[in-house]
Amino acid sequence: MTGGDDGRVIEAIELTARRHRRQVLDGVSFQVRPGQVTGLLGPPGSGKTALLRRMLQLDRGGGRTLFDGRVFRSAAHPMRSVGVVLDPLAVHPARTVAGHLRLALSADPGAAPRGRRERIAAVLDVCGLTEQAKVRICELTEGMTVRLALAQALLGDPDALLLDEPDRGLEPEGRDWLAALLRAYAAQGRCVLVSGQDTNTMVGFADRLLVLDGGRLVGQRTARQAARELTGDCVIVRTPQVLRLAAVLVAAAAEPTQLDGTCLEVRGLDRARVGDLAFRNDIPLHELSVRSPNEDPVTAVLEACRRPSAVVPVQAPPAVRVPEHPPAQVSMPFSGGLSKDLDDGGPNVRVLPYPPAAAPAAGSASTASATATTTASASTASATASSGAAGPHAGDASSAAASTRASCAEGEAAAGFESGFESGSDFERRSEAGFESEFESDFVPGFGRGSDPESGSASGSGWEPGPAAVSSSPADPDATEARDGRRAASGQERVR
Amino acid sequence: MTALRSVSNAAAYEATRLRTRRSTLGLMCLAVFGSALATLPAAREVVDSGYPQQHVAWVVAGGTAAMILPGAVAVLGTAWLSAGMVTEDFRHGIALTTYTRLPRRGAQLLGKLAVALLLGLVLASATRLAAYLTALGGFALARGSSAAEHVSIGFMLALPTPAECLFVGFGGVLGVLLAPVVRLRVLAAAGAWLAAALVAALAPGSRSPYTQDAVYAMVRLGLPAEETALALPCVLLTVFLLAALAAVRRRRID
Repeated sequence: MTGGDDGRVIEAIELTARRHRRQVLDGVSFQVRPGQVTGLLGPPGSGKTALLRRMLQLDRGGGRTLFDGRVFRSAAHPMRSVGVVLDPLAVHPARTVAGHLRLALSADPGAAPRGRRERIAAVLDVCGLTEQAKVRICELTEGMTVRLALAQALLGDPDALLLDEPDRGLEPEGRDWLAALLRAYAAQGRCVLVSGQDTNTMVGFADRLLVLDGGRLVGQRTARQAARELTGDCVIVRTPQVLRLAAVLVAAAAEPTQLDGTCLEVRGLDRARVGDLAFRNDIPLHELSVRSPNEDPVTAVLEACRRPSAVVPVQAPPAVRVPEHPPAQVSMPFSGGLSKDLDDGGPNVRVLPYPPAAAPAAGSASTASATATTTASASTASATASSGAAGPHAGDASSAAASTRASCAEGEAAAGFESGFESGSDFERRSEAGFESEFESDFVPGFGRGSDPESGSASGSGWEPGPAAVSSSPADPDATEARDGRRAASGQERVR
Repeated sequence: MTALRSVSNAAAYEATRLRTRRSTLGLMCLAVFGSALATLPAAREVVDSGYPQQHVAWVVAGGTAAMILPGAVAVLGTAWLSAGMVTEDFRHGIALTTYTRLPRRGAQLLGKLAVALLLGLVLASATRLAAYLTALGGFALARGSSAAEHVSIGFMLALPTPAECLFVGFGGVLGVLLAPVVRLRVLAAAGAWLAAALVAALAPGSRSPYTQDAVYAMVRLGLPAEETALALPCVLLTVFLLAALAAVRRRRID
């Protein structure tokens, strides 16, 4: 029984099944790799048993499962290909333990080349049932019956094991034995697929977990990750640009894990920092939430993945993209110009309606700037350039902006968000008229690599966020921090 | 080749299942006892008639029961055991393990049919031997009467006739095919016995008391009697085989 090569892989392809006019499996595809124990985790009724039954073609449905490149029914020696435990109690109660195994072995006599008795004695020894060989099955305890089912699955020395909740009914010490058995089996380069509904147990059994819910595969993770989740916080991010965000997060020394097509689980960074990074890289977010450690990871993942993804990802209008080289002249400073423009109904910045509950209770200038910042950050990349040039304040602003995007994606403030945008032509006109430069006035100057704090003009060519972006503001840091704190608060309030 | 191996594996599996089941031996004993029970009144009847030697073959065959259906008791026993091969799968949920060992359902049905035929042969021989020994004992007990003094039973009568073997095998096959359709062993066994009796009644040279009734029924249905009688076994087998295949393939295994 050699293993470890790719030919031993179990490949489930688009498995679907219906029962009582209800879809119990909906396009489930995955691989069970040799050399590791794969766990199938999900709440009761999620379709674990249905999936195993469909894999073995016991139920009708769509898709197919390839064991060593062949479907189960066309296997030359089914018992030697796959060992199965679906219902440990589905045995004839009047048979003896050895008689039951003898009957099972008669289906494929070639599975025991060294003799049937020897093979039966060997599996009984492995499963700790040697003394019960002549006992009738009706006299066995439930745990022993489960061991008998496992012995039967091992009888053909199969290349793969498919076990449906094998720990159910097993005594507590039997679980350690089962975990050791499965690991030893997988260590020989064979495939093991185990289903279960208890996270702790499955983490003990499996090297890799597939999370199933409502007949769909909603996520997968390694057991190490799942074990770590039991003890630590993590941030759940949903974005249509998963790969880009993952690359950004990895560069920031975070540990992102993809849960499904649009969902990332991030460790090593807090929520605000993740939002900052997403904003700076112009990545729209549809969800940004923290999962507490006492929450069951399966439940949290299911909840995060169960929500329907946003229909249309929020994208910045192309007309307000940040130019590679921003204009050399930037209106400065913050305090005078913007207020004046606002008071005069200035041509460049228009104050947009804002929900009263989210409006910060600050002075008119800071209110206007916060509103304008939120609007701009949700829609354009011009503020990105500004925030890239600004330091911790920009981080707060981008966090608020990312939060705003998230809230918009969730539909809570969709109307307000839409009204916060002008038509594309307006945007273009405003952009050409110096929209960006007016916006930049909202931030404290001098954080860009090429900017000149004294004159307020960008002397260099770079507005990309650099090392200076994380430095504190030299100009009136207290006032700026207070203002940015209000911005972040207002943005997060909108998210909530 | 793989299909052939599947059928042989299925046959080996079913044979082991029958062999290692206590009720199989019990039912075979019951069939033997039933055969003896059918033989004893027949032996008494021929002794009372005064010409026992002329009717020895009739007595050993089972008397009146054999006129209705050759190997009547063996047919019933085989149909019962054969139907049990199918119904047992669904009784304790064993089908789940059976079909994971032998996933090809059609091949498994063929394996069951092969075992049913073999079982029919064994049961026909056993019941015939029981009838032979019963007749031997019965005539020996009646030796005091003048009529039974010169009765001799040839050894060849201990072997089942070809007709008996055919009908017993036919009954077993029908038992296997009817079980997945009707899902009850009692109904499957009874149905198999009745179908075999109908074929026996319409068979050429039949001495069944129900032949006339069967022919009248055919005529009433507008079926040509002779052609129907010849085609009936094939029609029954084909219809039941297709129905069984459909039932086995579609049935949900719990």
